[in-house]
Amino acid sequence: MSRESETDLERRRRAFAVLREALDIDDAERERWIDERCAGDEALAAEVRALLPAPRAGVLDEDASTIAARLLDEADADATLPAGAQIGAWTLARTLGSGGMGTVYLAARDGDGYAQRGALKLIKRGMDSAAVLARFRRERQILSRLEHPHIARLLDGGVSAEGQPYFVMEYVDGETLRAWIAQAHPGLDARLGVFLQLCEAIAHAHRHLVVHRDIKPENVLVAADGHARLLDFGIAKLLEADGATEQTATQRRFVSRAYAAPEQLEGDAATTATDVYQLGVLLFELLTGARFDNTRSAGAVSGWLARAQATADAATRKAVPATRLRGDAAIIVARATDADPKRRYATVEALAADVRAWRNGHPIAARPDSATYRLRRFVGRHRVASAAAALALAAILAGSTLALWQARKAAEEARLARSAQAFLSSVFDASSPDSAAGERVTARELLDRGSERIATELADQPRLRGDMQLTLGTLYAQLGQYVQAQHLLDDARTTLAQIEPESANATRAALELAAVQRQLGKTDDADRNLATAMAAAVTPELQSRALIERAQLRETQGRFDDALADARAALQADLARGAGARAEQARDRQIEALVLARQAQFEPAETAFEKAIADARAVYGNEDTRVALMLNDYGAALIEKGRSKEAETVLRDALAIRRKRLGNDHPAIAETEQVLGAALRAQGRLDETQTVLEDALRIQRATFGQRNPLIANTLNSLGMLAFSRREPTVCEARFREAMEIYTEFGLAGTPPAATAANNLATALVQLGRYDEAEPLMRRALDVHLKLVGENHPLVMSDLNTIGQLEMRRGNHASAIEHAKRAVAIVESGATPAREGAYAHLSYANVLNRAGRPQDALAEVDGAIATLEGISADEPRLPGARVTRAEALLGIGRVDEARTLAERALAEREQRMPNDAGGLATTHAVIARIADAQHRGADAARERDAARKLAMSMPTPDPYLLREIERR
Amino acid sequence: MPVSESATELLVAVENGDDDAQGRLFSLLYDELRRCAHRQLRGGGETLSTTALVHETYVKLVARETLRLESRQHFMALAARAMRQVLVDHARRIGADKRGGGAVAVTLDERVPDAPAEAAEVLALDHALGELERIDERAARVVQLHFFGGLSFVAIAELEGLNERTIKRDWQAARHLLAASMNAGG
Repeated sequence: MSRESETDLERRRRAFAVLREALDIDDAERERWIDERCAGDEALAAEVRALLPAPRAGVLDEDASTIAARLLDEADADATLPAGAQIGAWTLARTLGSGGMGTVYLAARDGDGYAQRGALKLIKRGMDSAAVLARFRRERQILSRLEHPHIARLLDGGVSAEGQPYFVMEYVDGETLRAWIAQAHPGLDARLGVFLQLCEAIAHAHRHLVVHRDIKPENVLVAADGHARLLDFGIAKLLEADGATEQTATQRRFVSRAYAAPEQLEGDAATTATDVYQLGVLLFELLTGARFDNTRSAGAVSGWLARAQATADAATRKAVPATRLRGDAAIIVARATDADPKRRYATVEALAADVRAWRNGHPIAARPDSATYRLRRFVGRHRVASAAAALALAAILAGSTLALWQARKAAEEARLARSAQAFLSSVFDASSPDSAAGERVTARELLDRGSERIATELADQPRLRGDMQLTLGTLYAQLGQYVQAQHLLDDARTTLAQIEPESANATRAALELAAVQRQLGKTDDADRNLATAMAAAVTPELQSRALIERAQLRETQGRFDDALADARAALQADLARGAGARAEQARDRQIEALVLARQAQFEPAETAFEKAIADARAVYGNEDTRVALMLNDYGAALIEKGRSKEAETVLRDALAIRRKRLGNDHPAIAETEQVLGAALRAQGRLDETQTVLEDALRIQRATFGQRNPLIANTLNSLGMLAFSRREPTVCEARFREAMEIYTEFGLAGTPPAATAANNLATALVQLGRYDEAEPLMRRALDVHLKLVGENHPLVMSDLNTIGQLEMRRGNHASAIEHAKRAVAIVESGATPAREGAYAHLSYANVLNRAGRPQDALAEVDGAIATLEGISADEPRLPGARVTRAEALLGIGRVDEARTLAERALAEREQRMPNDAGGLATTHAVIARIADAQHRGADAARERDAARKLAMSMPTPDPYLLREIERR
Repeated sequence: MPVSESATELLVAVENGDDDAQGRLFSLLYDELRRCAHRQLRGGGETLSTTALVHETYVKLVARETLRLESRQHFMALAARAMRQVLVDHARRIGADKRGGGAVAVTLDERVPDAPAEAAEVLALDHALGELERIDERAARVVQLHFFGGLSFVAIAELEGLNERTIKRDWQAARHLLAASMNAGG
């Protein structure tokens, strides 16, 4: 830096000056402001931007004098006492070592006619010496009883004349554990020998009810003959504070953080389990030569030690063959160092027994239940292990909460969970050697490993292979990996049908396959497989399940009446099965309700939802995840009805249950957050929408990785949000990413992908990029026509957007034709009320532009009546009033037009003050009204307001700009 | 240690352009601040904030005499510099011990891991502040007075003859720049 040129320094000065000002600018404005301020000086702008990120917390957040005190204290650590100095009855001979806690001296005292040697540890930290002394007196009785060949005895202790506590231990000639390893190059047997000696020592202490609580390599001394001794027994306890009178920070200072058990870091009392943990850490270091690192990846227990060793010293690698570290050794260490004290070895003896067994090649005790044990630990509350992997597994095992549960029976879920559990635990064992430590293992990777192994290892066991393919296929489907799911389920169906065509699992495979094909948009294949399944379905339970699957297929195809008939037939069959089938009855009613809601038959839909939720509550209790799923879907239906406030309440209930049962990071949380986002967006609460959607995205990315169809759904919602915020560039990016994902997952021809394409097109239209938009719109229309027929709301929506595009291009005839077709679909019945009103509204707009204000007025009046029927707060009502005002202006009812337009402006300013585009449109209409009334000054002022608003948009809409200038 | 000259005398001498006096006053402050900081830990009592510490030093060294406002401000500025030096010196000592001491053969317990890291951060801050001094002298002064001297923004504003808002903005911008150069350096 010192040799930088003057111009560099000059630039840094200017950057700093700009930064000072930039910090005063609003976040939203800042980027643009910097560009303007730097006026083309790219280097300067870059320098300013590099300075912008908020500073991390650091020394400047602390108090200088406090830091000074700490530094002084630390620097003092090296101030050692000279030989001959007197501490209590002890004369210091020389320094043995020093560390953060104090200095250790070789010391001697005269006793009963002979000089006794000892290692004197002088604690330098300022602390309540009187309390330490009192504790020492209390404990010394107990500590002096600890006579064991592998324990260095505590000889004395007290407080020096300077007020510093000290302890004297039996002086042991030897090396610390690490020095011993480095210098003596012990082999595996010698290392295990030392470890077992330490276990004996600790076990002895535990029998005398003493816990060491600070076992670490520095506290182990090994003599030349391999005799090991443990130092500092009970010292940590003596130095710890009693109760809450002293600060926890002080307390923790005496636990070596690298070796502390999780409960010690939490401030809980140390127990014998704490010592087991620390012995586990010690074993880790003895076997690997590496520092303990418990941030291993979840799928990698088996290769954990071997990987750690690969980074360690050559001597250890030579002494302990890496092949021996796989499997049992890793399991022993993992069990001893489990985050949950209750899951560790119950006693030090049990740990020692397993180490001996392993050394002699016998089966270890930790092994038999290792599969369930490890699953518990990873799915459970391990704080340090890869959270992503734990989540992914939780997602798989608690898969019942994902939407797929609808098509599955509770008992079967248990079977699925059991077999998945058994299989996945074996996947865990087969950790792949090339996955690096700390790598995040996603659920997808686990499944991939699993499906590879099915193919190779279960080749000669068709029934088991078929069952596993069914299990894994279902899990893939739950993770949105439909293409893989389809492969596996197809194989499963073939395999199982060859063994026994009418077996329950063969039918299940066909049903799952049909469900996946429905998701993939392969409705014909799904239909065929469903027919097979229905013919083979031998039990009433499978029959009704097949009906429900077909109901969902029909709904996807837009054949709502058929869907309703199937759902009701399933319900009748399950009602006939009595109270035992109440869970299925709830499921059937839920599907019935969903179909009714799609048909805009909200009242019967609501009744069905309420009954379904009541049934589910009766079967599962109030706070079950399956009840939450019902609430989730109910909330979605309420949004469609336009009752977004009620929806919000229901969805927050669902969210609360899911959070309580599943934690904050489960993909089911993301599912509800996504729906909640829609409810909030409908209420115009855009910032809250952003918050919940971003949390959903966070969860999904942590669980599924960067790309996944469910993530595409959330991106689509974020795109819609950006659309509401009139940020077309953000909008474009979100929709494009969503579309890429759909394509990548083979979902390009499905309704969600077509919807995303249509949304993207709408955003492009707002950016004036009509030629890019049109093919997307046409393709969406084609996909929808093919999938759902010509009378589906999706087709209506597509026609509508094409109409708007044609209107912007000035092709009024074509615009009218498309808008008219859209309205015709609305009139045919299947469209939800609000979407229907939107279609009429769009048609009215087109008619206004085409110079047919009288017809426009009729359309817009109908739309306003519908929207007011939904709620007085409908977000599009003010816009509808503007359209009506334009129509009134067109037919010469200018005064009415003015009153209405001004009312709309007031509503917009009050409810949607950030909607610059909407406000600009309104001002533009008011300006035209003023033109008609020859109020030139008013018109000019309104146009000016409109221009300013339009230009304040991140990307001003070119059509809007033209509209403003229109007279 | 007998104080041969009072801090007040030194201050007057400094204001009369006696550079040598400035050095002596600096050492006086340095030792006093160091002692105060040291006492905090040994005493096991309450911890003083930097503001209180500097104030205590002031009261102890010059309180009995009434000083002009400028002199008091001069004292504070010098105290801030002295505090910075105390921190830097001891951070260096820790760093140097770590390097020069070689491998400590027998460590019966571990060094509290935070201290060397904190020492390194203090040294990085000192270096970054040196750079800031070349870029914007006033902002650097604000950091020195506020962080090392414990002076409030209001007091600094008074000292600089500017409004508080300007001083706060200096501090904010300085934090961004310091963070960036500390990151780059570390």
